[in-house]
Amino acid sequence: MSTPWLQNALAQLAKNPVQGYNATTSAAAEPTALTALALLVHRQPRQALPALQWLASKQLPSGAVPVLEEQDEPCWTTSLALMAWQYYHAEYRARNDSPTQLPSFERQTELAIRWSLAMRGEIIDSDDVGHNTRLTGWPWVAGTHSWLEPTALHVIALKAAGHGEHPRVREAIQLLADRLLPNGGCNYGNVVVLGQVLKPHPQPSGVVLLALANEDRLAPNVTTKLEKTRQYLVETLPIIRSADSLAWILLGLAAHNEDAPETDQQIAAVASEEIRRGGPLYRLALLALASRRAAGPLHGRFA
Amino acid sequence: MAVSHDYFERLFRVTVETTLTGEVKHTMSLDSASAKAGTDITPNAAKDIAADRCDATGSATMPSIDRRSLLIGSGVVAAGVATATLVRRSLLPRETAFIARNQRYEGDLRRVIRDGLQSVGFPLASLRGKRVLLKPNLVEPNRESPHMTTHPAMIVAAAEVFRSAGAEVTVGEAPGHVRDTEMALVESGVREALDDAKLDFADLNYDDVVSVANQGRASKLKRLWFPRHVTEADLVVSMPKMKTHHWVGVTAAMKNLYGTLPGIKYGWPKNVLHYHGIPQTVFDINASLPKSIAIVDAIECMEGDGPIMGTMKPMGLVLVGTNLAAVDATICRLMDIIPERVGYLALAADRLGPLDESRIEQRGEHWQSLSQSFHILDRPHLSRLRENSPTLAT
Repeated sequence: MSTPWLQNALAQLAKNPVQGYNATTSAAAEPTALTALALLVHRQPRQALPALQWLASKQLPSGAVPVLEEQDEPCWTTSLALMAWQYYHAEYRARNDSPTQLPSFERQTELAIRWSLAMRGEIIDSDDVGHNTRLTGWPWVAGTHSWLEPTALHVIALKAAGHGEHPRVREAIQLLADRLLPNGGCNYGNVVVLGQVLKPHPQPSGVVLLALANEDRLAPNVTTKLEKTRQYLVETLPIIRSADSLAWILLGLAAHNEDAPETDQQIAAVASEEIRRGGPLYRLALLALASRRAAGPLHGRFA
Repeated sequence: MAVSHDYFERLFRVTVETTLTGEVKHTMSLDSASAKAGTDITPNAAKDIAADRCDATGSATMPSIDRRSLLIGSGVVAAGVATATLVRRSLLPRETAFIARNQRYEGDLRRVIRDGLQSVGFPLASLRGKRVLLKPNLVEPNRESPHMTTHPAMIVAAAEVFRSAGAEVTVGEAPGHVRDTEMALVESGVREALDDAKLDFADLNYDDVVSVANQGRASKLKRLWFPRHVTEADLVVSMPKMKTHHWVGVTAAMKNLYGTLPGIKYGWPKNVLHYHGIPQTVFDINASLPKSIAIVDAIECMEGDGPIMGTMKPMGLVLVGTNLAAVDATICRLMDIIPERVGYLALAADRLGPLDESRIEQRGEHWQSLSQSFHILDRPHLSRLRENSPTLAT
């Protein structure tokens, strides 16, 4: 059953499948990929097609999909384009009951996987931070260190594309586990700086929880930190009033089979506030994704 | 030997030449005084500013330089360098820094900020119809650490001052550690304050971007990407929280402008800048953004492991200034830190503004009576920031 906010949101997303970070900025890969995913998850593949095609049109010969159109870097958003194409392929193109004459993005998917597996963060030598600086995942910008969200997003995308056993993904999972804070949760990607343990942030904690879903080979101490991360998010959830953090928390928790019915009301309240405020549409896309969290749209169940 | 300096050229288009005979020639363009504060000011105000540095003929007044004394004990080359340094410093405009004490967030901050701007000679009236961008520090808001971020009351008070002058005011920030800017606004209390005051917010992390030539070139970055809201602003007001910083010692007006660079180009954290050197890129950003002034929240500050994990240090101060280097140098003195030892200030010295106490005129309160030794971490790169460091936090 679709709630009024969700109907409103999906109608807006279908009308504006290619969009920027807000109504006045140029089209960008992340909001467009999230819109495609939201429409796909809500069974609107034809409405999602313009977004998928736009992402394909912006893909560079290397396979990378840059953050902003007309710019060659950074390209961490390749992970999100890959998720959207892969989800579309798995849920629609590859199914016997798929609508006919839907285009394929297999070539784009293949190129994006190739680029993702070739891109890696820089290792550094430092005694001032508390993580293993020699593990590599993905950076925000080529030529810099690996950070949590781009690494987690690439892990999610590559697992969904069937590359969960690739050595790059396995090392990245090690990296994510290494950057979990001792008391649970994580931030942008530093555990300790100059001897001080840092504080967790909700959004990256949710994204990393999602990336570490269905991992049954984690060391016991990592499993403990993961459980503390889950607890941190459960405790933090009630005070969250922003769409991005709320959506990623819910997606992360759902991937670990944690849910509460009252969160639908929380989503509705945050979404209604975004609609009232005229906030960025991509936030509604994220909330629409979170509203279907039980279907596990982003943790590989569709692969 | 020709000494041509960005700072002079940007403010006054001054060219200094020290000839082989030691004779100093210089010229100053009177009309370019309007470049001060990066905004159009009235012809009279421009003359007033220029007159502070010029004699009646329109030539800059120079203290007499005893050429012979410069040659004693050092070689001709050394004397040339020393001459150039003296000349450069003597030609630098004096700057002002305003300090108000006994301030509270519940107090009349609007009056204090207006008094401060007037006191430092900022031409508020010239802002009618202009775009003003207020840039607070919301690096990583947390309800348990309100002393980490610029207080909403400061932001609203400054906005009201500029709005009442006829400016179009926007608040903008690109939080460095959190992708969810809305959460940063909510956690810092700024969202509610902006809504109540009907103020627009520009999310600088996700704005359209504009490539700007790196005017500083202390780092190897040839160009910098700024959000459209920053490049289109007639004035950027740096509104930092006065804090210690575990890497560079102090974060205030200059370092706060790190938050004008967009995360979608530089990441979270802005690791590209770290790779190119924090002091160097702080300098470069400030050198490339000429239209800036500072209004500093130094009411509840942070000491120890700043800028995130430090402890609250009540100071009750508000600072205002039109030269960010001079304001930051004053802040260092208030924290008992030697400004010249802070990397980005050392780069900025005599280029973006003066650090020398003799060249920073104190308005309002004098820093000497207000200075308190802020705790800094017991690390070699930080303990060198003061002569003797008895107040170390570990």
